[in-house]
Amino acid sequence: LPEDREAPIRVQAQQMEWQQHTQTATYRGTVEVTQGELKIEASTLRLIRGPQGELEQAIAEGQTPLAYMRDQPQLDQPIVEAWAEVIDYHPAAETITLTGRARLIQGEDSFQGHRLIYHLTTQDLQAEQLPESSSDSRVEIILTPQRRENP
Amino acid sequence: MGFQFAAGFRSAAWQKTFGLAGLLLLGLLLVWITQRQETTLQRAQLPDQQGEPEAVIEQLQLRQFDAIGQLEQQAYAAQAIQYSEQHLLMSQPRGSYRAGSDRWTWRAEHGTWQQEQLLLTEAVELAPEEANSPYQPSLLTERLWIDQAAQRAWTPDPVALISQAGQTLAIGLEADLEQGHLQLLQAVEGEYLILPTTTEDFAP
Repeated sequence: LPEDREAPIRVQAQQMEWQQHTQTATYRGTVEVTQGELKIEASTLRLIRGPQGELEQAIAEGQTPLAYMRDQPQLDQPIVEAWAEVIDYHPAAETITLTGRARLIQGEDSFQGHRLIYHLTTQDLQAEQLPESSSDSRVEIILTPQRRENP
Repeated sequence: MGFQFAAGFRSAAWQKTFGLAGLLLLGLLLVWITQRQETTLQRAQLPDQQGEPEAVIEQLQLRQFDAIGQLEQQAYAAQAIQYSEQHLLMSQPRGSYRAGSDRWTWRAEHGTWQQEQLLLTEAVELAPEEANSPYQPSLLTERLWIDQAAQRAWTPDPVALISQAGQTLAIGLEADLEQGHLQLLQAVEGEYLILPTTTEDFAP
């Protein structure tokens, strides 16, 4: 939900490493991140802060299983779910970049490609294929037309 | 007659009550004295457990310098009891020491220095001295071992990393103080603000 963007981020994991010199926290082992309705699950997570301590990035990674994201953009809209090798959340830009075997579904629409950039508030989506890639990893979009009520 | 008898009876009763009250007071006095002795005895009992102390030091200040005169570490304690060169008990100790490029500060209610190893107990806090950012966390726990020669710190107990940007709770810590690398070992739960608070540390 839009108001979720100000909410604190909660993280659960088996272990955490704090690197004093780079001021980076890395979480490992069944990592779960929640911020309001936004939820990310992965095997590792890195939280990176800016010079004034603002949370710049939360990078979740997972191979098997892939990192997973779930969000409820608005109360009256279907839940969005996504999977990728890397889920890169930028709180300030309110975007989530899915990279590597990326797939996103919302209701009956689905998107697939090497990289998907999803805007949490506007739900805009950019899809990119792997640069100079083979044809089978091209972007694939399936939009299901809304059924019109019988007059 | 009745009156006198009553008066006589009454004065005898008064004498008895005064006597009882006096005995009671005496008893309370004795209890108070023995308690005071017990507490002073406790301090005197330490030698039986640890051997005869070499020194009892009030307001201990300790500084150690390296070969080129740089301050390696310093420690203060409200009171220290020294049993041997390698064995020192401290109350309300605090201090700082250099590990690699960082300087770490520590404090606790109690500390025991034994053969290059420092055991801190009760309200233990460990933090880098120069906070190079507003969300620099401090480590809080109830027991912490610091091996200064190996520049390592560890505890199996619950720990908390607290800063203006959030807090992380976990169980167990292994820290390589020279590398500035803290590892929280299990059951990690964190809560972080997108923007750190400007004043005191984060409290959910």
